[in-house]
Amino acid sequence: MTFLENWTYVYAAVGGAALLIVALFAATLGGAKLSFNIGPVSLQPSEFVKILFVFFVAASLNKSTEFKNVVVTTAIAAAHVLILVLSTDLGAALIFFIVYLIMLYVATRQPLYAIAGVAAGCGAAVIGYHLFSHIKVRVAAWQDPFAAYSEGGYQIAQSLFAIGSGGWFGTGLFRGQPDTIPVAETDLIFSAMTEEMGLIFTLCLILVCVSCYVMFLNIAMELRNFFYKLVALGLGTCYIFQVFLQIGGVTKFIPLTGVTLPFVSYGGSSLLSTMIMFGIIQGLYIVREDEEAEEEHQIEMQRARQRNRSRQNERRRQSSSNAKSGRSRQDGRDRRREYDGDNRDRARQRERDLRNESGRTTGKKTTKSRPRFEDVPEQRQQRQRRTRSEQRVR
Amino acid sequence: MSRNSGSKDSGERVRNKEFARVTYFFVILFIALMGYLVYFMVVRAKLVVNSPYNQRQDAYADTIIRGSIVDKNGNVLAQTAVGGDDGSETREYPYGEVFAHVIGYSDSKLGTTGLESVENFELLTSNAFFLEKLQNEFSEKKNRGDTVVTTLDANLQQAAYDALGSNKGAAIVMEASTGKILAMVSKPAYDPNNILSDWSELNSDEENSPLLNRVTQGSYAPGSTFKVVTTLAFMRQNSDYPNYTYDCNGEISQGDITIHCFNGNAHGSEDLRSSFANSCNSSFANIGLGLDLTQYRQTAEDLLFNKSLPGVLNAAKSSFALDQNSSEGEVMMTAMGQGKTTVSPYHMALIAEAVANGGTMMQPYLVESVTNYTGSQIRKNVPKSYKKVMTSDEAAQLKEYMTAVVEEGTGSVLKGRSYTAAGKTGTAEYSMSDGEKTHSWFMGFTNVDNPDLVISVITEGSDGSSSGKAVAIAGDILDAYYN
Repeated sequence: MTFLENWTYVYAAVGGAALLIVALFAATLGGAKLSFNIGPVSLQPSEFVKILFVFFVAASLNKSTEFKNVVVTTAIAAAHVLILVLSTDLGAALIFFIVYLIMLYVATRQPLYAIAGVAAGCGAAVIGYHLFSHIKVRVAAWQDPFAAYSEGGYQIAQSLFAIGSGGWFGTGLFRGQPDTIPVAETDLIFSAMTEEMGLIFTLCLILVCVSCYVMFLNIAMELRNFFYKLVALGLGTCYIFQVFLQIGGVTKFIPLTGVTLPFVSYGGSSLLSTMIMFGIIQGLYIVREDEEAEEEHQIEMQRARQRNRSRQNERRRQSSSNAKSGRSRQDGRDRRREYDGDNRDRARQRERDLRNESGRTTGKKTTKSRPRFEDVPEQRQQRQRRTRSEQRVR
Repeated sequence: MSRNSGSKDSGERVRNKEFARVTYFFVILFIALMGYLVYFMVVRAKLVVNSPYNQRQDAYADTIIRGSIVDKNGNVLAQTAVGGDDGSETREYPYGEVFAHVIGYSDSKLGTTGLESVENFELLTSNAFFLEKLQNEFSEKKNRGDTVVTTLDANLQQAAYDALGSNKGAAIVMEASTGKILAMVSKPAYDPNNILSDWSELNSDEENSPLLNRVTQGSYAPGSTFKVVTTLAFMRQNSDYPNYTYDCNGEISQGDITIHCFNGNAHGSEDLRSSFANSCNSSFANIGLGLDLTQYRQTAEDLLFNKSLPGVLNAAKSSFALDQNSSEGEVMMTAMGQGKTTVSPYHMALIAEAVANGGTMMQPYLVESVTNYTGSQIRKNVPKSYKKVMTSDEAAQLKEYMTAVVEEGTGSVLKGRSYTAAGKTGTAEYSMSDGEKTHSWFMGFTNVDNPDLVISVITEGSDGSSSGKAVAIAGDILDAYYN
């Protein structure tokens, strides 16, 4: 699958184009241009562009982490973010920004980039605050939702009422009032859940999300191919930061942005893109296993080869005192064999010598063409024994 | 043979450092988020849930019959009567106007005020015995909400209501050592039983403002009761205050401002104690001129001027406006209790309580306990101290001066009763244009050796002649309690 890391600019082009289409043509939905309809199906492209974006950044940074390349990559990433800001999808813009920043920091290993990025982000936030009125509204609603109740504070206020009324154990399924929470199925699903199922339940849910993220990064750390590492990191960050924006927003930890909780909120595009993300990472996990198995097989082969070579030298010295032709035939078999101790093999060798002596014609060349039946279960056992010990070590 | 340690060389491990860092960052971020959620639930949830915008509380009323509010002896102050065949519920207030402001009302259209609002959640929660709740669940009956037991005393409240008579004003009685509020009356009042029908009339009555709780929300000039604060400031700034002398000839002039003593009385040679007992304006204007204004302001703010006041009912902040740039005229006026200073009867009671309690202001509270509707206790409140606003020596000295007010000064109508009393009277001018219009104040406490009750009374708009109105009313209220 090495072609994937070469399509850097394909990802950027397709992603950017999709976002532009949304920005220009989509219907305005609740103040943010988020999706467009193809017939009966409503599509939210920014969810899928997330994945393309991660691939783009990973491919680009995998190619080179020199300053020039970083500048080019940053410029293209900034273009993505800007298009999203202009289509007033601030939640997605923030996710793209943070994902890019983290991938850049990890790829280049320069904390300076991270600091500069955060500073730039804060600067942009301040500029955006003064430029866009709806950001002002959001921040005012965050600071005191009850004072700003009629201007958007009601979303957070109702969310807080729901969380507060639920208590630790919730009101019980179907006994809450999620209809008082605006956008309860998508953007404020966390509050609706806390009200009915209780805070303990949702704290556990947060832990599940965090553990998914930790597993993603674990896979990223175990991988050897740098492109795959970056992809796993990017998708993991994408996922966890979206969870953070959702939960932080509805609980008044941070200002509310319009993002969904992956795998929990209603929304086909979100569900599909999250499944693709998890699928990609699961694929990377399998790649890792294959990589490891492949590596180990190769190392074993090397070591076996070395052992065979040393034994060959020994036997050549020994066989000079032995004129039996069968022994040289057995050397070929030994090369294929993988074994633990030398004594067992020597004993088996003596057995075969005796059998060969007992009347088999040398014309039959059975030893070279296929392994003898007695050999095969021994080989299989030894491989099993070895994988078990490998697992212990792993 | 451990192959895996070999497959990750040191380069790999270093490369993963940033991954690990990023992981830690997000994990810590989420731990902070979870911590915030727990903090919200433990500390802030109840406050948030009681907001009037929360429609959920109305939903509770669908399954729970609103609980009762009773006084400390079990007299019912508010209850829901379930009547008729259709099970319609009406909220009844057996005492009508008497408890109007402190209990408040609860109406689905008009909202909730007073204790009905503060305890809304408790009244709509049912802690009835769980088997009974189960039974009700199956027979589709409503559960009964919990009962709120207040610290109020219905007899004392009634006495205060009667004592205020036809005057507009307010009275509040508290327990000195605990902070319990025993009575809180505001007049003119309204009948909460008819709140819905009288609503437009009550709202448009601007002359009387019957819906205003004058105890907590009334902002008045303190008049001579403010001399307590001035005395405390003087004591703090002059350690030889017992040697203060002043020769009063009925008036004092500074620049082009002249201040007169009440009725033009010349009090003669006075020390601090007699200045206080006689409520001599000239002496206190003199004291004011000699005060460091920044420290004066600090003393006032120690006593919670310009600050939020403790307690569950919303109380207006009192205001003390002097600072270094104030003119001498303003200083003289403020020192004797006029000027731009405003205070509520509630705040005056808290100050009196601090003096009575040796300098420690207790947290005032109205709810003694919450029980379920059969009387089993769910939760009980205990007295808590709020803030030490002055030293016990200062409090003892002020107590001595306030005793002098009753023994030999302007509060002598309280002398010779079955209880001992101490306090400070006040006459606050509030209009110079419309003839001399004054409010009459009294703040003080009983049983001087071991203070028992704290009382604060104001009557609005008396003419200057009956200057002792508030103190007389206080006397009537206290008589009703002790006799």
